[in-house]
Amino acid sequence: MELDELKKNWQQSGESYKSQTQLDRMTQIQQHPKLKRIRFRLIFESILLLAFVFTYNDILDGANKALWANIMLIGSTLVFILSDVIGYFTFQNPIKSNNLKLSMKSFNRSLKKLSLFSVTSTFLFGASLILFMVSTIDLTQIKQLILAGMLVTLIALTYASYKNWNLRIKAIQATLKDLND
Amino acid sequence: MKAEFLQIIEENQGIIHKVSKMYRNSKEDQEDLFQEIVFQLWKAFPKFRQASKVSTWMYRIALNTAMASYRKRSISIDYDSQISDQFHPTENTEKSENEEKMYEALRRLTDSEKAIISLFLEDYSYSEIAEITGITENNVGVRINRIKSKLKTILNQ
Repeated sequence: MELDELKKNWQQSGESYKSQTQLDRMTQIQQHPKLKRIRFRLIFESILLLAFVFTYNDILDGANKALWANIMLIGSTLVFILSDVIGYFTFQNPIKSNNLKLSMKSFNRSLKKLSLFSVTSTFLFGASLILFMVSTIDLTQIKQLILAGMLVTLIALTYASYKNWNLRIKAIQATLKDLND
Repeated sequence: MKAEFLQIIEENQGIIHKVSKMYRNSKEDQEDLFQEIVFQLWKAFPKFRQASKVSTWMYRIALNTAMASYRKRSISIDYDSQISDQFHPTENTEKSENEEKMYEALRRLTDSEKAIISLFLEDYSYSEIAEITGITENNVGVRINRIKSKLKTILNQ
């Protein structure tokens, strides 16, 4: 296929048809495929975490724990939810400028900030939960081993979250680099 | 405003179909990207002052959405090309095969190359391509030549 033919094929393609009713449905945020998934996760996590905030005092014996541990746990839970909310709005607005290069640059900056916030809030929540649980107990050898296991799991989960964000940011950066060449 | 928007999109939806098909492999991903683009176009519509052509505005938003939208790399089976002979009428078979071949070649380019070449194939001038992409006019010329040779190699394989 020669380039002229390619041009002709390009200009003649894209013949599929969607009605105005179908297009109208696509303008609604509820129908957005990616935002729908993010929103579901956001609602699901928020309900679980808020339920946790309202019940942890009884379940985990919050009244007998140190005040700083209680404050850290509630604070980090709210920061975790906030990070999800900011993520939702960031992905709702990927277009930041009139030209592709500037827009991608700006989106890349937003993603970097969001990833840092998200990874930190994940770690903070996990660490706060662990600190809360061990704040008033005597650490026997067995308990120390369990604590070490929990810390390793938390670090692994935080690293997985970091890697996931990094993949996304690297894809944007590769495009940006390509636009700069 | 909504009626005007829907009218414009209905008349120019070919642009969204082309961008979706170029940036995504599977039918499902193409449909998802199509929806994402329509959603972003609707969000951007209040700021669209008709200072530029509708098609330019649509390309700008569509390409930007496609490039910013992340998808995990996965092995996909292109059912379209597998079943094309069965479902396309005979007179359309050649056209459909050529179209598939074209999209397969375009999908092997990088995201920014796809954006540049799609505007070139749509007959935009170098200065218009530079304005939309944000790269210099000189660089547009250099890039298009590089992409053309890359495409020739892909198509001759």
